[in-house]
Amino acid sequence: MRGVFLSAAGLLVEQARAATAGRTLHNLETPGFAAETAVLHATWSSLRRGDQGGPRGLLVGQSPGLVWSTAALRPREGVFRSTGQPTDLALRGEGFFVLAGEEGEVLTRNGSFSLDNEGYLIGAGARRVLGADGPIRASGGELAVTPAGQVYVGGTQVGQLRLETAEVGLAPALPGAVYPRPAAAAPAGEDLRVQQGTLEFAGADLVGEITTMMTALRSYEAAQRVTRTHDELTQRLLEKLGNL
Amino acid sequence: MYEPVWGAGRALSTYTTALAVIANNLANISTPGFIPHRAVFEEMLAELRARPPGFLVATGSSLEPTLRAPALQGALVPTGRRWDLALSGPGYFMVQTADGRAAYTRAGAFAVDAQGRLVGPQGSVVMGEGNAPLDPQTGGVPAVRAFANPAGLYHIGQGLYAATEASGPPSPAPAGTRVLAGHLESSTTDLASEMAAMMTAQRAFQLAARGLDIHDQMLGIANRLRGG
Repeated sequence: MRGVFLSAAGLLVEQARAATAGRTLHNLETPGFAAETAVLHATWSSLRRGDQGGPRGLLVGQSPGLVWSTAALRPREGVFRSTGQPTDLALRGEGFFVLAGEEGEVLTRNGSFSLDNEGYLIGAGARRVLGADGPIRASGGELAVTPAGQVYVGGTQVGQLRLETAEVGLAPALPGAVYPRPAAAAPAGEDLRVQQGTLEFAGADLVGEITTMMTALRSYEAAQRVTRTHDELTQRLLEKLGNL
Repeated sequence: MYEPVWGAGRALSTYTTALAVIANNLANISTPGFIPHRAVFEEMLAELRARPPGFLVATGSSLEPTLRAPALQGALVPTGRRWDLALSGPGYFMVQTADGRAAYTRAGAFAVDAQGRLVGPQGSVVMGEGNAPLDPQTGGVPAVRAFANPAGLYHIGQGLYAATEASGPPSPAPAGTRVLAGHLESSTTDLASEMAAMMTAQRAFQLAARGLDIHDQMLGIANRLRGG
């Protein structure tokens, strides 16, 4: 019976792989979307050698032998596309914009900004974009942002974007591709540049994602066959036992 | 049931909306004062569920288009017609619709109607400074208003926009905005970028359809787990 559970675990894992690759494919046009990958872990800890009590040399699975987790493939640069919209900002280099949300300060590379009804620059979830001196009011004239992050409206400087670097690790992003700001976040260095009129997209490896989906489909099929074989073997065993 | 199928379905409907927005922008490439819309995608929801203890599994994410119409300056084309007015710089002409509400437009192809009023799109009456209709006989200054967030204006149709909570209340136009008589502002649709956007949306649609197909096949395999 153990085999049925093991191959069923294989089914679940392949399902998760296909779902994760699909999520990336469906979000090709979502600015700042962080591509994710399904990371597989064999639960070795739950597999015991037979010499600890069972028949010698056999692996005894205590639970299904595979689990997975989803991890964001961040930080890495995506692909940049020119949009010509003055409020679209992209970051070249590693780092983040800082937004003020209800949950506190958050970090994001999603520079698909717009304005709110008071003229402040806002990002995902209507969170205000933070500058060195608080939110930045970017209404009332032509908006210009320098590579160093200085914000000008109609030729007058109205603020300086807060740009930070931080290790967000493998935590999946919140909706809108924002991350809670870790305490260790530090001001970004000179090599981080802001590009106005441009957006960053996930830069998904299309061939890779489609291949992942196709291999996941076939592995899923294989795991299904194995599950059925185990089932048939169990059935045959029961029949034989019945004839004894 | 199996979440990714719905995710793929939502992606398909999203890209359908995006294609409709692009088609509308392209159709209005010659409409004076037309402001193209943009479909901006956002992740709909990323529900984080703890599956095996200690592992987070993100599911249920797709995209949601929001429409934005940022104000850009279109080219000013001389027409020689007296009541063709164009705006150079940010702002909108204030008009009053038939139901008495204020609306805003950059489509300045105005005309004098049978009752001697200056009218704009949908028979709306062009307002002058001082909150009274502009009288074409005596002349006057058309009322021009600006918004903190022009992209938040609600598009009523035929180039008319209404103020919303997102756009903020109307305020006097900035000093740099000028009204040019005998000119029309051309559509700000950019053919090249719209075509590029259309191609990307089409390909993204195809990929989502492929994803849907693969998830569907997986469901079929799961159904054949026993017998079949």
